[in-house]
Amino acid sequence: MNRLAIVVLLVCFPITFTVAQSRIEVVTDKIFTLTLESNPSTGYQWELSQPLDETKVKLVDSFDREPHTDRAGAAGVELWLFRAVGSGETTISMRYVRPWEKDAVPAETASFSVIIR
Amino acid sequence: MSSKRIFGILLSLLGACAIWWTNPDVGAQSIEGARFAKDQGENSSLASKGPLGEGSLVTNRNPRTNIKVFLRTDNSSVKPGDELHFTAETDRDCYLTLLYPSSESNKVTVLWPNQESGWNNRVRRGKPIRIPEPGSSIHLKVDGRSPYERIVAVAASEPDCFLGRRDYLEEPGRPIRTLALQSSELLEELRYRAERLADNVDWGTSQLTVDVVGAKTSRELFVSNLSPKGETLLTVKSLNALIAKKGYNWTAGATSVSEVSDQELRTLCGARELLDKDVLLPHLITKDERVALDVAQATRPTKWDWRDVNGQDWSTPIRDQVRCGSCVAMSVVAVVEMQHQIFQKKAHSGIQFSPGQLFSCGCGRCCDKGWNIYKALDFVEYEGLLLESDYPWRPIDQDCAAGGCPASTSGQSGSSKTKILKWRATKNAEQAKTWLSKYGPLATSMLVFPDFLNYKQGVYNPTTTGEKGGGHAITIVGYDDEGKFWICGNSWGTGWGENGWFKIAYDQCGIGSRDAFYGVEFATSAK
Repeated sequence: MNRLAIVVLLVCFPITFTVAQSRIEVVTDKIFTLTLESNPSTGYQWELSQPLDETKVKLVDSFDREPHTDRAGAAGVELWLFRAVGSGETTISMRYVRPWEKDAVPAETASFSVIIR
Repeated sequence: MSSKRIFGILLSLLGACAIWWTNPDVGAQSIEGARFAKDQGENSSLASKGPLGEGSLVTNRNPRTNIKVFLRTDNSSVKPGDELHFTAETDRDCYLTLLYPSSESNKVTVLWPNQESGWNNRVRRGKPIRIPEPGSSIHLKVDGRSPYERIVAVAASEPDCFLGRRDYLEEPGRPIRTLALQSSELLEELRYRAERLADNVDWGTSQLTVDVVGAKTSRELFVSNLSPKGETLLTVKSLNALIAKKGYNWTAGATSVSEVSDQELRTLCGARELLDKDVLLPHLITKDERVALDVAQATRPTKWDWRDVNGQDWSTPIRDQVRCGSCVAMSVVAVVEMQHQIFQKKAHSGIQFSPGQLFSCGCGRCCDKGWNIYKALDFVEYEGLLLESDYPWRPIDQDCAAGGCPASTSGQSGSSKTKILKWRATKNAEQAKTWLSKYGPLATSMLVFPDFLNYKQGVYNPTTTGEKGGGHAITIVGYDDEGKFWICGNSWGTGWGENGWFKIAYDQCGIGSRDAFYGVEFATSAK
């Protein structure tokens, strides 16, 4: 499964553009969203693998978007919303794990370089 | 339009392939998406980067059997348009396969062996293989469409053992072949195979990754005017406090360091109406009049547990679906297995049917799509189940024929299939309990809320409800009217919950209301 789906920026007006996957440029005080494919029926979920540098970004919220199907076991996506709070560069590191499998190697990892201007 | 589809369209618009090969016999050809690297990879165990992989590359930790594979490149840095060369060398004689998994096409290109090697992948210790070889008609160029690339090397002491000719697609005339596996399932498949290699087989893997300087884009930014909720973050500790506050009788286990927000708890694995009532019931009614389990409700015990019927355990082992959304197959197979034992009056018979065959042959490549219980039951009734030994479970998307012995899946071997006589369904909890106590277990679906992942023991009540998420199929093996809970089996392995089992309060998570209870019959298991 392609876990890293899209990077979403939240600003006032809907504009679509593209950037490199692992590099996100945002403006201070703006909200941006990481959208990651996920399947809760497997017991896996995304989590932060490293603490955030909260002088740069803060986690605002994270939630699930339901799969567009009535089939049990279908994958959906997780939306992770962050706020850029301070200028500079930082990294958001994430892993796809089961909470109870503490010593297991993450099924997947993701790392986003965030540049806040 | 789904994000995948939008993403796919964007990729297609981006145009050129990343690596090209030219062959004077057939003209210039492209390998969609291949690209490369600059640094080494001696048995590295690098975490996957996004869409290319399904986790970390499997590593042989036994120094006695570990084949070291050294991957090196001449390119100190890589930028779009560069032509790439790399070498592969092993520390012992072995059979080597070099792969390029493409995120764009989801194909895996076999760079070695190739036509120029005579499709022979035998390599000698200390004798590096160069890709492309000097004078080769194959050329590899970076197109810079991705910020990083990966090459995977797989070595084994025996030919066609870890990877082999059976894994190649038949592509007559092409100097390079494609693996009959998708990029997204490659690493998971390698892990699976590595675990099952014979003890006398030496093996090793390696991978080479590098950032591509000046790479363009392959991701998409949307801008929208969604507004954050800004809700309080909850830890598992506070989740347990919330459980206590609500007066529930279950415990969240110690979990990882992650924090989850209240909003996430409400929605991450939230409620999806699995089968709409208006859709489900007519279907069941018109299907052989299976409107109900049709059992008398007059007398039944106030509690039942197929794991302990007068001291006899009729359950079958808990499975682990791993990352594949195959809960429907897991649930249905568990019900059929248990009912088979009950029908034969033989607990612990050791019977193990194949959820892999059910899922791959009944649904197809459905790890992300999920399935419906009644469709799975139809398959068991009309097609039948092979044994696990004939069609082992793999937590990956695969075609029906790829999963088991071909003769088995086609029914040409001595392997026989087991069919149920029929299946029945009801949304009436009383009928379900009567069925449980008289005949056997039930399959059903529930709504998985995020705190369910942290369930450790007790009677589960969701601490949150609200927005919908994904549905999840489970197996019900009992009930307790005094405690007002169902006793269920999950398919997340024995490390979760009460050794893979759980109790859930009546009337929670849509059990029996959003989806039906499904029971199966063998010849005389129900009247």
